[in-house]
Amino acid sequence: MTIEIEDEISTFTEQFKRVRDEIGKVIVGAEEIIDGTLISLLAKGHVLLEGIPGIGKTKIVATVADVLHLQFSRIQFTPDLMPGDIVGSNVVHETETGEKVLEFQKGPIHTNILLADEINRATPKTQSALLEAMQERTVTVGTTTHKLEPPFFVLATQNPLEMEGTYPLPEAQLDRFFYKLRIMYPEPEHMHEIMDRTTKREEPVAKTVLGRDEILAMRDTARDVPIARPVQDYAIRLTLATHPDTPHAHPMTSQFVRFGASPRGTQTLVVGGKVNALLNGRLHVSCEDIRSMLLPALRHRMMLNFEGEAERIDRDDILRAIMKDTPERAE
Amino acid sequence: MQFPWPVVTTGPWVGVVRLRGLRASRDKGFDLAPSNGSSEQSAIRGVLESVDRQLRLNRILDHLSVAVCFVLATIVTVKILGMLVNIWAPSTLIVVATSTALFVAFLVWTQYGARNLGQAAVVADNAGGLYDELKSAYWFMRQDHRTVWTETQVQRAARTARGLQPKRLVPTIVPQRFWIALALGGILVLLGFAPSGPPLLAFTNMPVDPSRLTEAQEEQFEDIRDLVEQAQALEDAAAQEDQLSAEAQERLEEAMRALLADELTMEELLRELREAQNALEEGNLDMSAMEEALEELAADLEGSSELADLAEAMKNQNLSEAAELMRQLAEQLAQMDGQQLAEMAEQLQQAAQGDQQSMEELMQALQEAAEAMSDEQLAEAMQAMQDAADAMEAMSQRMDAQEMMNQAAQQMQAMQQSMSQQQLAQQMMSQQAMVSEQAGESQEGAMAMPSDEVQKSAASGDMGDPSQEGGPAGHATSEAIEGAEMRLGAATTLEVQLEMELVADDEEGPEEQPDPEDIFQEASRQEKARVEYRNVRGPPKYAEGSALSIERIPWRYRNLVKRYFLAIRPRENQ
Repeated sequence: MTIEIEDEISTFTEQFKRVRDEIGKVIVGAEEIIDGTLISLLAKGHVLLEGIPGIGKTKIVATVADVLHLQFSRIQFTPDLMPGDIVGSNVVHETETGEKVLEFQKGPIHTNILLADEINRATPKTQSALLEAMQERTVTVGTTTHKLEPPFFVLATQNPLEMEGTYPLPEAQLDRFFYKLRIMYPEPEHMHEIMDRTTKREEPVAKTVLGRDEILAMRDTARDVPIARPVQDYAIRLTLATHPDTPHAHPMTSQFVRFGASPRGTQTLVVGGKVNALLNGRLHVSCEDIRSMLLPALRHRMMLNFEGEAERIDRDDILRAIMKDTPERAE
Repeated sequence: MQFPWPVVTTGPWVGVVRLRGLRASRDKGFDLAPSNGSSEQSAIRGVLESVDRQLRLNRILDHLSVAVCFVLATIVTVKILGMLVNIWAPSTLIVVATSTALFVAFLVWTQYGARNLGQAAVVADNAGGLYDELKSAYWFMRQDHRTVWTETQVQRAARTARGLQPKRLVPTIVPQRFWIALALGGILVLLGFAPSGPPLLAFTNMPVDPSRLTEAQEEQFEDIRDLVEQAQALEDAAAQEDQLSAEAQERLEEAMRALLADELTMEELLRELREAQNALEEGNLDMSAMEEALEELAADLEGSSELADLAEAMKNQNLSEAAELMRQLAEQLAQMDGQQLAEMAEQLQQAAQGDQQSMEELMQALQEAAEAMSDEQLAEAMQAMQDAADAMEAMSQRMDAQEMMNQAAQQMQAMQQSMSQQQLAQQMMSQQAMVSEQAGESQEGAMAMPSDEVQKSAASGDMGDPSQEGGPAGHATSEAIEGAEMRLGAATTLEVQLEMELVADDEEGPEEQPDPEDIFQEASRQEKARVEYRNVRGPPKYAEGSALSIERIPWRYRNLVKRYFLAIRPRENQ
């Protein structure tokens, strides 16, 4: 049995590596973003990618979709996009007998991988159309609920909120994103590599290396990884430290944070930690795994107060302080 | 390796088939029998216990280093303090024994039941870079519900544990404090070679060094001793029952012995001298009663012409002469006629009626003499008068002894003042040194009395002749003390200073402020008015005032609010 588990882990690692390598053929650098995206996929989460225009957010998502043998849809969010444009709508359809019936016309959300490009350019009403789909993996139109095929994975991109013509995502929707990943401008050496790859006659193309069933199996495997109570306690204490006015609150939290991370944040830390443990060939979740998940998992789940906003406090700084000052415990 | 499912070794589906197969086998209960993990668990426990032992050893060494440093530092501090000032300090053996006992008790308290394998697992994980493998395994081992994954994890952790060397993982660390302890031990050894002597800094509680008594003080001490010895001899001669001088003599001898044995502090010596002085002056009450009684006796005896001289001598407190006159009268009794005898008897009877308890013997003798004279028994009367003369001589010796004791008491008082002066001078010098250190050279002049002046006026002990009443010694000494107290009294606090200024202001009365209108009028009258009218602000209107005075944003947030609005202001280029 031990051998089987060991094989399961090595298979998991191997498949993950294959996907990552294939994406790496197209995307230069951004390993952290690629790993985060894949971890979210395997942890049954969704990803919000944030970055200035033109640094490859959409390219990353498109490449991930190419590598995975899954249905892929893309929605370009614009201010005039309506919820019905995403989830679909009932249209009048005339049968062969001439009878007119309402027939549900599926929207682009009925897919496996959904690229919600520039999600914060749509109005909050349209953004909210994704809420049910992201959490319950269902879509309700009228009185009918339609189940989405697993895996359902939303990859949303957004521009920084300071940009003109953007609508900030509601907290409820932000909380449904497993990770919020920040894409930074590439390093100069990466820029050279990008130029070399993309300015020739043929651009590199990623092949499909992983199918739906494999992804579902990997998802199940990730959930099997056990976590010891002290490590889980560490994750909980990290989350509680983001809550002001509580005994666990970090001083920076008390000063700059209005609301802390929800229990979904702790779930993200634990599940993400499990995937990360497997990727590192471990059968258990370590505190290091939890720490590596902290920034992408909780940075979008904290709401700054007036002072924090005015001082332009970076949530990552708060989380780093929490990570530094929260001790591990033996029991 | 045999797999119970078809293995696809090529293509993208290789992984999913494998995972599916593994899961299916587990779901069917394949090989789900609990493995005998006792050897794995014992391996993990063994490593954790070794690590725990190492941790506790390091902790004990750490505590031991702290304790040794503390004990050595205490001993060194006490030694150094003992070299500077006179303090009572326990012996090194007591300090070491007490500290050892306390340390052992502390160790027992902290180490008893202190085994914490969970903590040992954390340390081993961190030291070995194991990413919580042992910690997780230790947790899984203690759980009732185990899965294949936890079993596998424990097995894997056991393999890791077998490859660990606890002593290399958590090496025995000798705390750096032991070097400090070693240094302190070295200092202690060096202090052992330091020459023993009196403390370098002498304050009130330092023992009095006999060699530091001034010559005048030594002379005073010898004079006091001589006077007390003479007084004791007189008291012996007078066969006095309660010999006050003996008590004083005893105290003085004890004080001198303690002084030479270096067992006496300055304050203790002064106290001894004070008590000896009190003992010497105790007899003054009897003396004053005796003097009053003699005056009454003299007044009673004045009525007889034969007893007039005797009464005069008694009145002058000259008891030796009175005794002599009494003896002469006794010899002249035979030559007196009956009337004279009756007259004397009546006077003596009247004198003996008095209630002078301080001279009972004399009274009794006079009573007997009067009765014998009345009965014309001249022999008995003569004997009684001889007894009265003897009583007078004894009283005279007692008075002389008391006089000597009073002189000795005066000497003692002068000596006390001299020593107090010396003590005060030392205190002033030490205070001056401290003030100079704190205030620096600039404040040296602030000290009221320079140390050389203090020494000159106080420390010499040159008190003149203390036998003179209200002699210059005591007078000058008390003046110096009062002067020093005035100069070195407690510093005036700010409150007192302000209060004094307030009182001064009240006494002066409020200064009358000229009316601004008068200033303008006066300037106008003198045609010198130069009032700048253009920049004069009138009283603010209500709206202006309210706008200026009402600010609801707390002051510490105003800058923040300002920056906030600056941050959200419309961009200039848009």
